[in-house]
Order: sequence, then structure tokens, then C-alpha cells
Amino acid sequence: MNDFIAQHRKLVVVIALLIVGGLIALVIYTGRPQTDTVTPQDTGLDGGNESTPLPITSPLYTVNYATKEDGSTDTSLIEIDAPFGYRNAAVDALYDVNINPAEVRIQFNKYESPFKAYEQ
Amino acid sequence: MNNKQRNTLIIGGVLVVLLVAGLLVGRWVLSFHTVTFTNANTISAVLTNDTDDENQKTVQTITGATEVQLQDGTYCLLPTDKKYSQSLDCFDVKGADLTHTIDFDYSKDTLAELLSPQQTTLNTMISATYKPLSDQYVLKDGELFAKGEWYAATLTTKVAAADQGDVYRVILHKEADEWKIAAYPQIVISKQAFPNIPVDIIEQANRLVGTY
Repeated sequence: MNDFIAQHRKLVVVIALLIVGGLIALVIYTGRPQTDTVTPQDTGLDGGNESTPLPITSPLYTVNYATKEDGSTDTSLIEIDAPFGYRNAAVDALYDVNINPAEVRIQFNKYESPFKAYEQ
Repeated sequence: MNNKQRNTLIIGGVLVVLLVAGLLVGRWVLSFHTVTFTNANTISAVLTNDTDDENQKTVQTITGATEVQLQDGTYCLLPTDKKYSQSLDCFDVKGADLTHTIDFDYSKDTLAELLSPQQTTLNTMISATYKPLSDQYVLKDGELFAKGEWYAATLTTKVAAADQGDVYRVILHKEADEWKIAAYPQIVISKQAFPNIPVDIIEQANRLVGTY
């Protein structure tokens, strides 16, 4: 064994360096930051997504962000123009563009709720 | 190479290996974090280590409040009792201890069983509350949610057979064993208007289909 090491000293040093280097690389690799994973909770509908393609227009209704007094877009409020019987369809259209109606304020134009008297 | 050189080489090598092994073991030990499960209803649930059905491996069964040592990753809980909803409750462990509350809604079957003896009472209450408008709307049987303490139903405007009317959703909440209106009938209910109603209840109410 001694003879072998003596005769192949350089080779032994190189192998030892490779082993130590490999172990150090392993330590660095196992210590690297973990990549964030997407959980089911993260993939739910996201109301108010800025990339949402509003307005939605159809022959029966229009869904769009409200306009502020200064003329700018109010992304916190969605206005719906729809006749009687088509208001639910207009709301349902929001799901198609990944807006959750429960998460946003919605105002129906030219409409008064028959249940307004029961507002809490 | 004399004996001294050989011993130095061996000791040096052993030290390097021990150092590296120590680093690896230390890193492995530090990778565990304490996850405290709070469990008000003593729901027994199976803890698995992946969201993917095929790769899921049971870590252990959690019963009652307990602490578990977990490495970084995504874990999911599934209740063992079929009376609870069999949807996964997943959470992430990311470099720190955390507390997770085990709480599952009842399954649809359980909720349907709970609803059956209360349906008449609920319909009567809604009809009585909105009696002046009762001849203009059709009240449809609704659904219970969560653990049966939330109820939502639809009121659909009466129209000619060929037409369709607006659909209104109403949400009721059971407090001290008494049902109360939590959200008056609306075409769409928003969490901004009703911050005291859990958003998942509002979402499910908004998806209820009316009478056509």
C-alpha cells in the first residue's frame, strides 16, 4: 500500500481533491434556496387581476371598470350595464376572465334592487 | 512515505470527512421545523407529504393538538372521518416553525342530512322575511355550508315561461341555534359588503343556480 501511494502520489492527491471537492459541492447543493412551489391555494381565482381583459361586451350586456371623476379607471369598482334577466349572465362573465365576483365591488347601472329596503 | 506522514494523511482525511459529514448532518437536523397542529374539534387527519395523489406518502396520522417535526415542503391533511369534506388541506413549510389549525367543513352528504329536517323552517323564515315580495319570486331550496351554520338559497324573479328573471342570493347564519339573515338577497354578494361572512361561503352562494 505504501509503495503504491509512494509511486502514485500525484494520483492520490488528485483523487483526494476530487472527493473533497465533490463533498463541498454536495454541501453547497443541499444548502441552495428551495424553489417556491405553487400550492392549490395559490391557484384560486384572483379578483382584481390587473391584466384582466375588461371591458366585456356582448349584445346583451357590458362589464367594465368604473371611471373616476378625473377620467381615470377605477379598478376597485366594476360597473355592469345589463337589462333585466341578463344581470346574472353579466356577473358570470367575470369568472371567464378570472375575476371572482365575491372579491370585487360591483355596481349595476340603471338598476335598483327590489330588496333595497332590507339592506342591513 | 514514513509512518508519521502516513498517519498525518489519514488523520487529515478523517478530519475532512468528519467535517463534511458534520456539516451534512447539521444541515439535515436544522432542516426540520416544528409544526404545531391545533385541533379544536379533535378531527383525526392523515398528514401526507405531497399534493400529488400518486406521490403522496403518509407522514403520520394527526389526532388532537400535536407537534410534528417536518422538513421544508408542501404537506396536506385529509380527514379520516368521511363526515368531513374529503378535500385536501395543504400548507407549506418554508424555513420556519408554524402553527396550522386542523379544521374541515362537513361533506356534502353530511350537510344534506343536516339540512333535511331544517329545510321547511328555513324556507318559512325567508318567505316571511320577504313576504311583501313573495308573489314576485320563486324561492328554491338552498344548501348548507361549512359545518351547517351557513345556509344560502336563491330567489328568482317570476317571469313568463319564455323569459328569464334575475336570480338573487340570500345567506343565513345560525347563531345560538337560531337562523338569522346574514346577507339580504342580491344578484351578487361581495366580501366588501359583508366582511363577517367567510369569503368561501360568499363564493359558493354566488354560484348557486336559480329557478328557470
